Amino acid sequence: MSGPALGLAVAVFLACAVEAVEALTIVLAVGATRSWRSALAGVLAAALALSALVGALGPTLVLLPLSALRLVVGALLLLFGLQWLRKAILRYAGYKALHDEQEEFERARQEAARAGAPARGRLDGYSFAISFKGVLLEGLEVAFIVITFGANQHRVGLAAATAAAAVAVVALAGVLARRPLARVPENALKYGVGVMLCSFGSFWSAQGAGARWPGSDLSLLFLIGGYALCGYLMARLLRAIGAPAPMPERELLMGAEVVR
Amino acid sequence: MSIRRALAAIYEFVVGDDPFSALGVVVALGLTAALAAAKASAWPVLPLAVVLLLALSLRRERLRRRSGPARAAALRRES
Repeated sequence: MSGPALGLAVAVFLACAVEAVEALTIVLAVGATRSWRSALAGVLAAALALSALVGALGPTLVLLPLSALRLVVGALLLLFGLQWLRKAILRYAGYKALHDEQEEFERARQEAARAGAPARGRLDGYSFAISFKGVLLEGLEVAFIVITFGANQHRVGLAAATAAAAVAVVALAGVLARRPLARVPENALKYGVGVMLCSFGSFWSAQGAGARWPGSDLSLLFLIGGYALCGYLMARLLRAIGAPAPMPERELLMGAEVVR
Repeated sequence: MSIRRALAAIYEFVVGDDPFSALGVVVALGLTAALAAAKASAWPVLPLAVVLLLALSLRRERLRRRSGPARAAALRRES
């Protein structure tokens, strides 16, 4: 597998895993509290809607001129990447609360319990709608990344297969654990995805605008390393000069260990 | 969903809560295209812009958080 293809696979896998964890939390909360059958029906419906979207947009994007596609898609990836990177750094420095899947699970579970008892033997509209909405919204961002990465490198199949693998891994972990995946180092994953999106976004959009990268595809590695290092230094600096309020729990930005 | 809400959702999806960074990316891409058209070396523009935009965005957030309580205290004193 070539360097850019490997980079594509890693970026898509990480982004899909993060979004799948968030979607899984919602589905688990609704399923455990009200109706597994209706929650899973919502998941299936959202998966079909997303598949239709990818199927409709993917081939259309491949037909566009490559330089225009790289310019537009690269710019969008860069915007996404900056958002992910900024939020991950702010979370690390204590300026934003860390995403707590256990807390999110409890909140969703209480809301589901308050919504009234589901009718026996019939499809529970609440479970279906909440699962559908959660999976569709989280999946839309992933679908966008799959389509744009795949179309840009003409590897839609690889991007889709990687996304499917990430979702399958998270779903399997959720089924085995039967509870929210609270120990996933989500902020570190989001930081990694932010770096990858910024790197691919810069690379493609500059190419689309007519620039030539020294070393061609090899410069992607320097972009990834450079952005990761700069982001890490900014995060350390922001944390050193003091957060507005200390956060009780922290997870390492670059390391694998999660302190909870 | 109305068209207004759909447009707001797309704006939130693409731009997020930092429109200055989005504007900065557009300007940097324009500069890259202009330099490339002039046969100059255009590749350094985006990496530099990304680092600068990220640093500025974090600085804005820090100042916003710091000025929030101070502004609230000043308003309490005035009232």
